[in-house]
Amino acid sequence: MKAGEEVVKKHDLSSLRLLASVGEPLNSEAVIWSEKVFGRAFLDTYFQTETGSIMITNFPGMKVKPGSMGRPFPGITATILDPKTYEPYGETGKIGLIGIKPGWPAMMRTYWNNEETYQKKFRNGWYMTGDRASLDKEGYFWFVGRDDDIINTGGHLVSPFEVESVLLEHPAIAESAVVSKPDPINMEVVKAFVSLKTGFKSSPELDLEIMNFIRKKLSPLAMPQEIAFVDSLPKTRSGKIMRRILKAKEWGEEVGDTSTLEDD
Amino acid sequence: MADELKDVILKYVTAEYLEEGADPLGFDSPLISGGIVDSFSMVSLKRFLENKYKISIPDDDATPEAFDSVNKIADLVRRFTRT
Repeated sequence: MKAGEEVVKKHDLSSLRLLASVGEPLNSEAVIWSEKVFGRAFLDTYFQTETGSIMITNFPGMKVKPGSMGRPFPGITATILDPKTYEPYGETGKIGLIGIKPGWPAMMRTYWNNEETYQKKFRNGWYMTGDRASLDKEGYFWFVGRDDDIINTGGHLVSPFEVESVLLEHPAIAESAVVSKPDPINMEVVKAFVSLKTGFKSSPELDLEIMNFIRKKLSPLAMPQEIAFVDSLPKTRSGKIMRRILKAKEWGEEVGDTSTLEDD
Repeated sequence: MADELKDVILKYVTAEYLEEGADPLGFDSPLISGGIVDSFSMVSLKRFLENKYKISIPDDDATPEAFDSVNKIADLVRRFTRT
């Protein structure tokens, strides 16, 4: 997306059948872009090393809702659990923990030399992926964020993924990452890291414009209290944004393992 | 200058924070305590003033009380443009 549409137009795409994405959850903006540029929507997928195979996805033939994770892969039972009771919610639209019914063939059998951590992944008969999402009336899952990444600002929960997605709707922004930063009054507040598209330059005016953009499109709570303009975001070699690194710096913590950080 | 300052602030607050159909604001209308501008949005209002008047308002001075009306905000801006 950063490179623009022209690169795609140079090629014959008549034999292109499917476009799928792994790694970071796809923002709706990316799916809409691919429909426009490739004539086909990027199909987002959801799985973990622990699950061994795709659990929730947009499979060929189903209607794609841009920004949604899709639906459970045939044969997989997935739901949204109440974080307090670990029971599936009786209604749709509520944000909770993603739970998957154990027993699928590719499921992990343990963590090497760490059975205790393995056991903690299961509650009330569900495998807990550690991510939060909501479910709509048509059974589509909507990603909210990694449990550890959710921002608790003055007692309200903010989804970093939602803020990142709306940031990408701003014409100047190419990439975005949202993390919490410490705050004396609200415990945590929203901080955004953005890289700009070619032709845009950071300025105090753009900074304010982006703040107001989020405030109006989402809410004052979700508005980044600080925006850092960066050339690029730290990513893994497979393209996942490493929020962990950005967050650790904000909180003055050790950055930890960076062996998967991309080289350039 | 003084009145122009107040006009600019009033216009900005009205355009950015006042809901459509709400009663028009005056220079003394309560902004924070009146629920027009919440504590999270105050940060963007502060940023606007800092950009516009090329000043820096320390966090300790950017209190909800100091932002509670256009008149009070104008006083605050004047304090920091003078120094």
